[in-house]
Amino acid sequence: MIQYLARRTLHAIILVAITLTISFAILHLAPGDPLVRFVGAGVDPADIERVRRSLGLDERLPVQYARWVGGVIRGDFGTSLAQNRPVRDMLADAVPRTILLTLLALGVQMSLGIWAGAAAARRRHARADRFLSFLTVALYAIPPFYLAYLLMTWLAIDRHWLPTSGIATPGLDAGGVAMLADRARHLLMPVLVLGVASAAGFARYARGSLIDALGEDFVRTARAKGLPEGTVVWRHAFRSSLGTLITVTGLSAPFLIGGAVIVETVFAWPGMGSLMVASIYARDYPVVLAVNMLGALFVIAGNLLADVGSAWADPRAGHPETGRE
Amino acid sequence: MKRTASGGGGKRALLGRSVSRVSVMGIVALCASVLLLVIRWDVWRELSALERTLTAGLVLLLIAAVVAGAGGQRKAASWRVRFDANPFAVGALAVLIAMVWMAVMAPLLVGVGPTELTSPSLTRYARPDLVHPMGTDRFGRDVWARVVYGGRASFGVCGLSVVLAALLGVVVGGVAGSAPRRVDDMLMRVVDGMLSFPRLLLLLAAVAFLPPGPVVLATIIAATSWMGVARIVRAEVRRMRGREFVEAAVAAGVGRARIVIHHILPNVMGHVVVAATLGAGTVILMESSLSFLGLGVQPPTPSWGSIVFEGRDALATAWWVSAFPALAITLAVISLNVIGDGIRDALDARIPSKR
Repeated sequence: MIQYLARRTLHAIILVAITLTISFAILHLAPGDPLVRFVGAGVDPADIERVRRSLGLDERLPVQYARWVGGVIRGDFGTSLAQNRPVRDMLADAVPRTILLTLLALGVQMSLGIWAGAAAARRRHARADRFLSFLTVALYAIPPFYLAYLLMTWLAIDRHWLPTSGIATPGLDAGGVAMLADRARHLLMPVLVLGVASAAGFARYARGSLIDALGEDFVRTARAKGLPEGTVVWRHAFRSSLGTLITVTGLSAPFLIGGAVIVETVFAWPGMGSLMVASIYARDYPVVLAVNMLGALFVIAGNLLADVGSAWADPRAGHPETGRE
Repeated sequence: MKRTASGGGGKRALLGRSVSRVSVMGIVALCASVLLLVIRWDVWRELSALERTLTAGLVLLLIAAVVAGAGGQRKAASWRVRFDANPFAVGALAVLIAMVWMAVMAPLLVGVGPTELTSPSLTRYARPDLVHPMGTDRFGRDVWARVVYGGRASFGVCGLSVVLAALLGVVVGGVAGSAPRRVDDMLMRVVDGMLSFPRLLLLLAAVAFLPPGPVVLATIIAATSWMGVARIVRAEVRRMRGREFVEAAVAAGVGRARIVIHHILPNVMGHVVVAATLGAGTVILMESSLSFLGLGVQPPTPSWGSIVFEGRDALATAWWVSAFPALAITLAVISLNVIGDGIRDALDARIPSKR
């Protein structure tokens, strides 16, 4: 088990090194460097040269690479071109908001997905199963931004039940419970859209792994003992597929973070995703690179956490002979 | 779902030959194309050479589908017969073919252009009616025309990037599967690394550094979506290296590259097609997300994602502007998923479908 986790951690560290390299490669995708596009665009060439020097873009590639890796390790992503302040400060505001949004959406995803998966697995091939299968495919196929607009039109514009967008009601000068309630009202729709959209894929996995578990011998034994069906499903089958489910949860991290870009843009939630899109329009490439790199770090961390969780939930996972590596 | 190995319904017959459902679809689409060409002959003559090539290419593809569908009927155990017996898969294929057909035939099918203004003051935000089946947008442009033309951008980018991604995936997977351990390890770590990025973030980052344009867009999407195919091909190549026919080829002195290309890859193509079809649905969603963010297909060229974006302000008053393009995205993605599942089930007859 310890050995297994050590191996996974080493794997994660190697992955971080590779993603650092890929991120650096993106910066040099375009011919020349990222500042080439400003040449002749009404920008003083002397200014471009100054910015180029201040960003270290006049150095040789290996030096730039070493500086980039060293910077990320120290948590230093350079200076924003558009706002002339450290990228780290801009991230410090945005990242916690995105983490809050994605973690809450993860909660929605897991509860909805496991519930729907179990409901479908218990009635395999029955009408309810078919309906849920269709619903999950349809929810996956509806573009998340349209889902977001539909919900916004219905709950915020037609009914005025919820605020359309933003993070807090402007001018609201209240503390404590009132402020928390206001924050929750702003969070509700983004969390719901992101959670429901990612629950669609998760439900399919949950259904598959529960069907596998329900076919096992110990489930037949549990049923033969006369245990109620609810106990069989939740205490026996679900418990045994928990390891797989935790692994799959880790795999949904990229989807949640990518979806956050869309949801944050629609609901004007000032997180990493909004920052990324705004920075692309502002051609603020240090911020773009930093958000992209952070996204990868979150995914790697999420997968590592899922490995730990799945080893805890299912000791077979870390065992050299039964491991599913 | 009842399914028999020899399904496919031999009852449908045309000119004394039994034809598959897919063939019937091909024939219907072919007749529709010819009819449209005859009716709109004056429009066809005005089209550019590129447009004509595109249209002629689709017609040829339809003929090929008819021929292939009819030929597949001979071998009862063929995967094409099993695919044909799956009503969901065939229905999804019909929807997809209809959508692609409309996109390619757009100039012949739609009287107005996607950016043409139709007497603005009168028809801004007009409700769907007989003149404008999907209404008009805030500039008085016909939404039906925009959705049909938008399919060109969406399917075009999707098709190009899926083909590129499949090619790249096959090459990387084939090399990794047959190369020495060290090369294999290195390539697979790159795959792991690429998979560690949230795909939309990676796409956005690449878009930020490259000039906009449909071909660049398709290339970027391909560059972020080849990893799944590479993994599948690598695993299959590894698995097949131990099989007798491969060992026989090795014993006969056939080179490594030739073995992979001539003996192993043909056996892997089924998996690649399934992965590419399922991936195409995701690509449609990705392209529409990028266009929605204003970073994909650039105006004035319409794409489904950007039409939804344009309709966002009027969602409460003019639902039709964004509802129809969103419906088009949803239909295309559902169809691609159902077709992909259908091909997989048809190829893998031994394992009953879990769905």
